[in-house]
Amino acid sequence: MNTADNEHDLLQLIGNNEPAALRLMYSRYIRHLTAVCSRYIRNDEDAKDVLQESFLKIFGSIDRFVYKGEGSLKAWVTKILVNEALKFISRSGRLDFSPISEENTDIGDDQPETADIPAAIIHDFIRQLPDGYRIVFNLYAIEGKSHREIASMLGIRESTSASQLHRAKALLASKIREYINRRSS
Amino acid sequence: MNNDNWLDDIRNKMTDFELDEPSGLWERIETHRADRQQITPINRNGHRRGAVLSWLVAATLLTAIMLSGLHFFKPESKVDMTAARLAKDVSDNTLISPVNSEQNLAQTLPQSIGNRISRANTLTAAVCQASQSSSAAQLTDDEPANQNPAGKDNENAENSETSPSADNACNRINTEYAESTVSASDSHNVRERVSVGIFTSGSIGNGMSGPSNNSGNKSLSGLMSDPTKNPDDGPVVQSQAPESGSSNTRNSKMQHHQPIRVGLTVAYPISPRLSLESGLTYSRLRSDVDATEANISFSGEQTLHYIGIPLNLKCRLASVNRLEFYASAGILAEKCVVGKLSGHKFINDQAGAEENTDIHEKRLQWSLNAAAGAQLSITPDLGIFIEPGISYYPDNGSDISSIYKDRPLNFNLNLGLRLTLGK
Repeated sequence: MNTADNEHDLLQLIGNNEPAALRLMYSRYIRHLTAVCSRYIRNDEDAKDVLQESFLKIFGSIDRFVYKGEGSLKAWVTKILVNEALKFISRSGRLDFSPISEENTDIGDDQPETADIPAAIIHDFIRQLPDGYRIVFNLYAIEGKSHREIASMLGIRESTSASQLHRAKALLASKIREYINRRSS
Repeated sequence: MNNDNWLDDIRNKMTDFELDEPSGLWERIETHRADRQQITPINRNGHRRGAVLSWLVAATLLTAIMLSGLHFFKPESKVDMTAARLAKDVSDNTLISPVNSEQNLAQTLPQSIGNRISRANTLTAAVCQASQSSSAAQLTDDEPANQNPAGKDNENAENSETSPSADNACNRINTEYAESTVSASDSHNVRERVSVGIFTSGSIGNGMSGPSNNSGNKSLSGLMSDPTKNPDDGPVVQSQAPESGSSNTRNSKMQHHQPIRVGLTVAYPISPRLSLESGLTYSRLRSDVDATEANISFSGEQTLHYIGIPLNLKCRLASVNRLEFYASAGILAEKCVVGKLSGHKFINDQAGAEENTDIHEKRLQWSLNAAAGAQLSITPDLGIFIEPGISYYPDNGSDISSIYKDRPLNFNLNLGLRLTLGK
């Protein structure tokens, strides 16, 4: 059984049409992609559909992937997944960018202390954000997209992206502070 | 302290976070995959090669169109390589009968070719008459044929008819000289003339992005200032940056697009192999900007326009038929002549009107450049060239964030057209 310690070796196995190579690729990235997908898609069955479609796309276009060093393959598969997730959200018409009324949008002067909070908790808090907030927050804060890029990807205005991000940050900060208070009390 | 450190922490946590896979997913993928297109063997470089090839073909076609236009309007453009080869073949006959060859040539070839060959014969004959000891090598070195004005060519062509018949040695010189004159692609003389090049340049690789916690970006500082602190309701854009040590902290993110450069250069030969090249370049640097400071955020675009003067030393390495290889190294001094930052500012949820601010940068931006090039001669005077190169931009202490500052080492590719001028 061939093994692949790094992305380059993995790509070589795939290039050599090794029967187990695609399964190896799946195993390498599925846990990461599941976590990413569930940040965008809240419903588990929908997330499963998106993951399936993403892997089919990844396997179908791997021959066009250009290797740019270790980590580039992971970045590429993540990008495909995020695109598929956005397509799914767009198709399902679930993306609503209207602000929630009576919501506290003040992030506060002090930034929330996140160092001691487990990643699973943070992940859960992000998943609890309303759809529009969550999508923009994921794209901006996690994927590193600019408001201009987000506006282009989602077909919204830059101002909408900026306001959604601001509200997402305020809500997330509030959840984190509540968690810290609960834990300390 | 950065106000968004907690977001950086969240980003790091989420980047490494993993979850168990949904049950039965792989089986579902396997089932669906069988119905879809077969996966072809991977060719990691194929896509890039294809893209580069397409780009080169497109650039070559564009250049060919430009060349055709230039060639059409150029008086001597009738001198094409086919005619040159024909002239070369015909000129071989001068070993037997130079005068007849000239006459035939004048009738069958474009006038300029005939003139050049006639002139070559005349010069050679004159030299042979004056001094039989003069060598052909000296003649060709001292008198590059194409440095003679067209008017004189005609005179020489007429004079050549009255020249006394030359001996075999001189005939041989005639032939050699005519060949060297007509077959420009084989001649070093052409390459020793002044050449003028136009080029366009782009970076190799993607643009880059990254967080920039540079609180000194003056234009950003202006746009990020809170308008509520402007009691006179004047322009929101301030011309001055916050003082160093200000309590205002900012998290800004810039995504730099690939710079675009066009230029016009003149190369002057200083030896058979070396030439000095200088000229004028124009570069445009574009970056997407996102910045947040407390409850204020800004999203827009920064565009910088640079005018530069390059100074390069070029060294011809080898020539194969119509292809010439060379290397060059030098410096480029660039000055930002126009800079603009435009976009929208948001205070909490409120988006303001579009705001523009000028960026002023007085410092020169120097860069060290090295390139390897290949030039293909389309005609004796015109060639297209491709120059992959590398550039290093030392920090000039500027507060303005740009791709020069954030990625000092850049790979680039110049494509261009080079016109060689005779005297």
